[in-house]
Amino acid sequence: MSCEWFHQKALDFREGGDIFADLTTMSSHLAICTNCQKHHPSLQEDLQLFRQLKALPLPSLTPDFWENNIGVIRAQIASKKGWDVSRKRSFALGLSSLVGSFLIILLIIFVKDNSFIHSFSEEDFLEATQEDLDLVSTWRDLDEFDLSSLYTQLLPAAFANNTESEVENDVLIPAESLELTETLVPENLSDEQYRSIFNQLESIEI
Amino acid sequence: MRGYQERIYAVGFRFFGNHDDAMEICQRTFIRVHQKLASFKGASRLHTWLYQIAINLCKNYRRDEGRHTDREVELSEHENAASYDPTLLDDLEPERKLLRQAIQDLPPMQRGVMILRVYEEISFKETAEILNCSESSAKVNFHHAMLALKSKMQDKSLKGNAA
Repeated sequence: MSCEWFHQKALDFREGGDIFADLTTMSSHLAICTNCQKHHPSLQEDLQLFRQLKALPLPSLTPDFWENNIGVIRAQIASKKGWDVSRKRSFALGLSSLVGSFLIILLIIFVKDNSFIHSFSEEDFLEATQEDLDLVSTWRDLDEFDLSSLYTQLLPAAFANNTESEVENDVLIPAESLELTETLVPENLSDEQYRSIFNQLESIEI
Repeated sequence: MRGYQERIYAVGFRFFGNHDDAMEICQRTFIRVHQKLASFKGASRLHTWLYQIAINLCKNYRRDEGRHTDREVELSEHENAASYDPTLLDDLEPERKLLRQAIQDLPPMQRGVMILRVYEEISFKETAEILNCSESSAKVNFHHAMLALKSKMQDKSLKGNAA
């Protein structure tokens, strides 16, 4: 081999080219060519190292070795398949348990929220806002609502702490209003006039 | 498959320097290939893909070792115990033993590049593809691997001459 060829190979090698196929030839040339030794001092070390690396042996494997290996691979693939199936089953079971638990929690919350209607106590009533009362009237049959307790227990309890004058101001209808009402509906009306007023009152939507 | 088995086994052996680990890598590579074959789109060549799996397994082998089930380990150990002749490995000259040890001392990335370049004679471009790095990174790693190996071998020869 010529020095030119060797030089080109050395350049190829520096650029990342493949020199392994020509390793022996290059080493032989370098061993005898002082000119190339002088121009490529580091390459000599590299070539020597490559040759040493290439000379490291692999284990000598017996003929049945590969058959055994394939057997092991097949067995492991089969066991992994089984494991994958059981893992998928466990995952499905876990997921269904989770969804079931979630549904049960939702059901408990729903029942608890609705039980508010049935456990609406007198104390709740006293502290209730208009929205609460609207809710009660929406959900509860008015026939079941004990209106008598409103007058006998709830209203007296609501004003228990108020002074007499406060109660009069808040609850009792002022005398002037009564007089005004009387003037609006005089006693000496005829039946037709009463009927007319009654019909008008009935037509008012509350 | 047998042809590829030998090459993957060789990569594993160069990487770890012992038969059992090489066998384990070989088996795990083909199991992984079996599992992922459907997702192989043919974007790279088959042997590139195989090397990619094998080298990744090699790099993560020590980390993953504890994760595998006892059943797998038992199977492998049982089968790995036979079928090779260790005499060739035991009778290495001191210099070769030292070189083998020097390879084991390289960082995994440098070891991977060196094995693919020197033993498998794969181009830097493909080596970079296998190792999922840039071509220049593969070249730098190869350069450092060579320097480290030469340094260790020179140390040994100097010590030998001094003695």
